[in-house]
Amino acid sequence: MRSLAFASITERWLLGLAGVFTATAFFTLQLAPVVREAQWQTFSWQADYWLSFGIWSICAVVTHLTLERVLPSRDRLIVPTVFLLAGWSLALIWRLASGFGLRQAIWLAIATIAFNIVVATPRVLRTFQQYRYLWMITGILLTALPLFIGVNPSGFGARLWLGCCGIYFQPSELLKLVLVIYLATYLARNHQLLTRLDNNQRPNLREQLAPFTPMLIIWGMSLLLLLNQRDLGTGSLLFALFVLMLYQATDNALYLLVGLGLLIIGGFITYQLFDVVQVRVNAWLNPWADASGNSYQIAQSLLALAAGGLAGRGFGIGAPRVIPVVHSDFIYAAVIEEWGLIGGFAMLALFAILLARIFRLSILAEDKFRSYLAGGVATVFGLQAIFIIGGVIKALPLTGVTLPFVSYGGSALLINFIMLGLVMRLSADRTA
Amino acid sequence: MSTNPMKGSQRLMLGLIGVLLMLAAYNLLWSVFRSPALLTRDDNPRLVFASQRIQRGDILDRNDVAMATSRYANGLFFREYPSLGTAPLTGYASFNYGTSGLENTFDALLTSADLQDEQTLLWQREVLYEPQVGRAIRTTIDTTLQVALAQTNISAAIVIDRNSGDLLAIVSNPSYDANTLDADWETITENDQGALVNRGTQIAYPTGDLLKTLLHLNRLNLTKDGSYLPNQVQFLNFLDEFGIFRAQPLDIEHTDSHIALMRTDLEQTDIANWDGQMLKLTPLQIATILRTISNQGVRSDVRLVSETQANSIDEWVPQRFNRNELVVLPRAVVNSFREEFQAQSAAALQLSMTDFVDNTVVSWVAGETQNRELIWVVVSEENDKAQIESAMATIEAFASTE
Repeated sequence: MRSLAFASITERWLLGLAGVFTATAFFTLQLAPVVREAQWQTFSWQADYWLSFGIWSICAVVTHLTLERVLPSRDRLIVPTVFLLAGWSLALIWRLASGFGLRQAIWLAIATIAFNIVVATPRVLRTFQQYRYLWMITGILLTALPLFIGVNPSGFGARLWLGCCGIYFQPSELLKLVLVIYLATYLARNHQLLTRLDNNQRPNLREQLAPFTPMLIIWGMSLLLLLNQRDLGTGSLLFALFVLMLYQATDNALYLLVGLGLLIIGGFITYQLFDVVQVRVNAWLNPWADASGNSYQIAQSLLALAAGGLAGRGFGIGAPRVIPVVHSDFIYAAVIEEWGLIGGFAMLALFAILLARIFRLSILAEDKFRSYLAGGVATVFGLQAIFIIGGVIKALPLTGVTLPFVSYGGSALLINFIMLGLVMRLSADRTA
Repeated sequence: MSTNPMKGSQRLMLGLIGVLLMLAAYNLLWSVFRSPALLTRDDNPRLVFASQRIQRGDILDRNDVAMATSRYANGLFFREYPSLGTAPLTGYASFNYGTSGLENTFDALLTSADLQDEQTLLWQREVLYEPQVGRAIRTTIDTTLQVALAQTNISAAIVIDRNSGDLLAIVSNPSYDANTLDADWETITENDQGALVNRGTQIAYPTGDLLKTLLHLNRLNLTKDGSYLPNQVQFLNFLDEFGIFRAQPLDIEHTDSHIALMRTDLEQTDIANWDGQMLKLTPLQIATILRTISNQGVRSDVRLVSETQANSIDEWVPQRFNRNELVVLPRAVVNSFREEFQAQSAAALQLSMTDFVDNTVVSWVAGETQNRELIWVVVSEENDKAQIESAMATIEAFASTE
């Protein structure tokens, strides 16, 4: 009891610190015009900042109280880490695209409600596990819908959203969730077969392929669908997720090698087929060749990284808004420009902590399904962070996925919080 | 082969966190190691934003009338040019197109970048967010005369104080409004002989009367009665004394590049075959030759900027100016020439030229004002006599009030 109480205080303290950080970020943002123009007259009270902070605070408090009530023996680091990222994100979105600030705060509230529902539903894991095919097919159908009635909130670019009355949802985000659940269930159920293959018991070809067939069909369908919509970022993400979950289940490096080989072949084919891939690969290889044209976004991102240096230009003082859609794909470049490497490394450290805590649950899980589910969720978060940060700093070609809990995007935030809810349930189950 | 799923999770975790660490290390490349080179790239918009936070110093005329000043609005400084017609001198300081004219020559001083070391600038700009305040320069120009001459639409005009060598006006038309440079850029740059070229200091015109005058002076210099005709080398050496073939010190764009080539051509041509088309000079060069004659044969440099503001706002530092005085002609030769001139026309020197330039008749007139205090050159590329007379009248009116 005593250790539980102490743990609860720890989470409360950490959430409090996240709150202090977020409030300080908003306060700094409020002062930024004064500093920028060196005039107190430019100070104006931004009620919307504090309304957003209020929403964040309510979300954090409600989440903490719910968790205290329904999952007293949960992991105490995951939620404060995520809320710190979400608070930082709110301040960043207000800074970079103020028109989306309040909207993101509302999405945070919706995502928190979804999270609380998931953590408060005892049979949620079993339900997901039981109806895996139904979820998967629903996910695929929903992802297919934008082919017919898809829109893009910006008015241009790939039509990957379903939308009405100013509210937009990206169904491919849902696909990540259902694929993780499906793969976790499938890998757990067929673990015996998979490990038999690993142990070189040399079954015939049919036996070798049998355990993979349904999994490959489902995965191939979703991938084809995304390729058809030219959502190559999510396509690559799902491919990498598939390979890495397979590796997690089998601990067989051969899957990684085969996956890498397929990725290279797939990359070559998509390069030949899709203009958008050619543009992104060329911009990755030499962004300065067309720095004012096709490579403008990545070139500006690199200039933002250079401008940030070690300590950054100061929150609200830099010029990250010259990067197109900086609040979404390039939010990490904005962090580096205004918060410096110190801020960037802090954000990477938060992701590392989040991954380590979720993988810890995977390692200590009671059964394989739980282990793979936690590993899958951590892998989704990790891959997204790696893909988009790697793209922003030109370590990888740009893929246009969101930085979990940080980039602007309601659907991504909602699905990430639902995945987090599942993880929190796992953490409680384990301890229980 | 191992099939422990816990090991798989462990390795996957270490792998993903390892990749995050590698990304952090790669981040160092752009934010630390390649940062200095990237930040100075011309296409870095942050350079424009940084320059918008600099309060550039004023460019003043000799009566402290601002020809260029900085206006503050919404945390940024915008450059303003109150008087139309001063652009050939001030040039421009554009966030998009860089600097020219005095804005370019004195850029370091006008932004005070020359005062501070990198560390101080960094501290002021990045930590204290203090706007960088530049210092002013005081020129020898008289804005009233400059603007009045610009309004006559004369193609080029130069006015110099005979004694001090102070440039009082450098006019060039067509010109541009430096206040609207960014918006007008396409129009301004569509012609390479257009508004950005300073016709007073950059375009060379046929010399006409001036060539004959100089040859005559050379002959008088060689023999009292002027009977000896020098060969081309002797004459070229004589011209060299006037500084024609040397780069002139001037704080705005001016052309000396055609001179060396011209000398080579002239050396190979018999002097009997020389004409005004072979020796082409800028209005500024014509004015300085005339000034030498008017100054009893003593040549000295001209100047455009007289003082610059010191670190303290109220202190001014005289601009370093070496007059480089040189006796080109003996006083007796000049007097003899003046007597001949007065016998033929008027007391004040006056020369003119009308000739073809690119199939267009161009004319210029150069001379002294009636009080002999000012030397002037006016050029009309349309051979517009009324335009020239209007400009001459403007200069005379100005001289009479001085």
